[in-house]
Amino acid sequence: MIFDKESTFPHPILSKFTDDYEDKTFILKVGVQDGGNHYAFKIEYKLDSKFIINALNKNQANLYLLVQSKDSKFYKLENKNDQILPISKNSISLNKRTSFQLVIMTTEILSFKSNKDLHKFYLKERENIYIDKFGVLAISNVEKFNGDLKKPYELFEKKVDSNIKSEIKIEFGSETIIIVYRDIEYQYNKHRRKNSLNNHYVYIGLQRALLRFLRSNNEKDQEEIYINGIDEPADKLDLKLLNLMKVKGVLLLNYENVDEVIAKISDKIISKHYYAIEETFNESKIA
Amino acid sequence: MKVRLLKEEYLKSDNLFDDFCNNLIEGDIDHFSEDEYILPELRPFPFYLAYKDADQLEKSFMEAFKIIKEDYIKIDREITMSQQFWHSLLLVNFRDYVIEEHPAVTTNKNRFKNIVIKSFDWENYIYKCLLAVEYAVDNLPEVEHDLFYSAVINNLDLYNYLIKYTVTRNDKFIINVLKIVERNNLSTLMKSQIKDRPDLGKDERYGRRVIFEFNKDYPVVLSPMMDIDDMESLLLNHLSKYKS
Repeated sequence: MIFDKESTFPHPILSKFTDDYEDKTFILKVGVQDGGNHYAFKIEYKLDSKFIINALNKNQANLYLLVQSKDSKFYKLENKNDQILPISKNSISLNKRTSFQLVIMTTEILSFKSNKDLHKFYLKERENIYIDKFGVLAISNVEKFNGDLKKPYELFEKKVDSNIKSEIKIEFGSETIIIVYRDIEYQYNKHRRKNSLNNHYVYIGLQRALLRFLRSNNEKDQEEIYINGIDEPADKLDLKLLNLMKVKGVLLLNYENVDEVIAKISDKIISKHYYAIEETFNESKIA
Repeated sequence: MKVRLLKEEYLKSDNLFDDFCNNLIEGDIDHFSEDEYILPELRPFPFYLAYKDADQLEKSFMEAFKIIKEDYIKIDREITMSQQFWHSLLLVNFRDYVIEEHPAVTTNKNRFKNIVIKSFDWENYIYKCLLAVEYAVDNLPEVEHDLFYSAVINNLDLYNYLIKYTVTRNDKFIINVLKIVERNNLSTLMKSQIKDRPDLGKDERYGRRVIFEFNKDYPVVLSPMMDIDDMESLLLNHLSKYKS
């Protein structure tokens, strides 16, 4: 139920991904304390739109906290800052990734006639804007408890297992791509550039992981994924890949562009491998 | 009761199936992690509910709901929402019960995978039942629980679809949708296939499309927070788009 993707809306909304308001500050901060059989969440927020604050004060709108862990829950909050919300531990788990977000929803049809906080683009239009009952007015940032990602930046692990039925095997751990070698020799450990020499395995590993990502995260059996338009995957390896792709500016993933995506999210895997081979080859010639 | 957790990689163990069949898991320290939970006595309950017979289906679901409510619902979600916990319970603590109810799991590895170590998500019957009981206990007075459970069983296709997606996997929304379906006698219609709309795809059903419409409008229309009466007119409106 957490909403965190780029989208267009039929009416002006205060959020970080829309430009409908001059000042789009709506920031949520969540603190947590363990209260034995419950968690006590401390909810603080900063909202600068006088129009929306006024709507809350006049009960023309309500403030809700959305909590998403295994499922989605919402809690209607008092219209005041710094409140403590206790949630029983049999209703929420924090060891898994849990996200929080605030939304403000109208309780009646609301005219934007007196909404002076809107972007000047709407100046002439605003008296014609009405928001339906149960319409969204504002969406905050998402606050996350990421406590269970053990190694947020490590994507690969290496293992040796003499019992595998192939010389090399790509496996997926709970949050890593595991390269399993039948023989430790295949890791090139004797060579100075051993990491780069392993890059062909890294390439295959990334390719397999991205294809798996594509299979498990496409909605409605589409053959492609718009990176900024999908829900956060529950799988931790997929989450790492998603974050990586976002940071590296990947917009689209499909079966045709997997190689391009690898080029973007990694750092010259193949050319480094090439130079490592060249160097090793030359060293052996000199020796 | 002590529930020892299997080690994190248990699903990758080559011996899991054989050791389960030969009752060798419990005695083998290699199968276990260092973690364990000490919990009040837990009883097993019907945990695989793919019954074709309607009476059998209802009876088994109701039994599962009852035992989950009595034994499990007070346990922290950190435990009850963990696949590792449920698989440990079924493979070790409840091994005898599992084999007695489903003898095929010791002869057929696929049945074992499908029944005992089934992924813990919306397709898993324990997950389905656990959410239903939790939603009833958290939101409804005791006298309405059985009515809600019946609504879940009567509308399984819709319930499955609701708990499949994060937007609709919400206690209040699910309760309201099922109440609306029941009080308008829409159950049969909601699970039936839409025949005259080949543009929609192979197995489209009225109920799924209605939920899809709610999903599409979120978060512009914050339907989970709606009162039931407002939601009812919206639901009927969504439905009318597909009824020719």
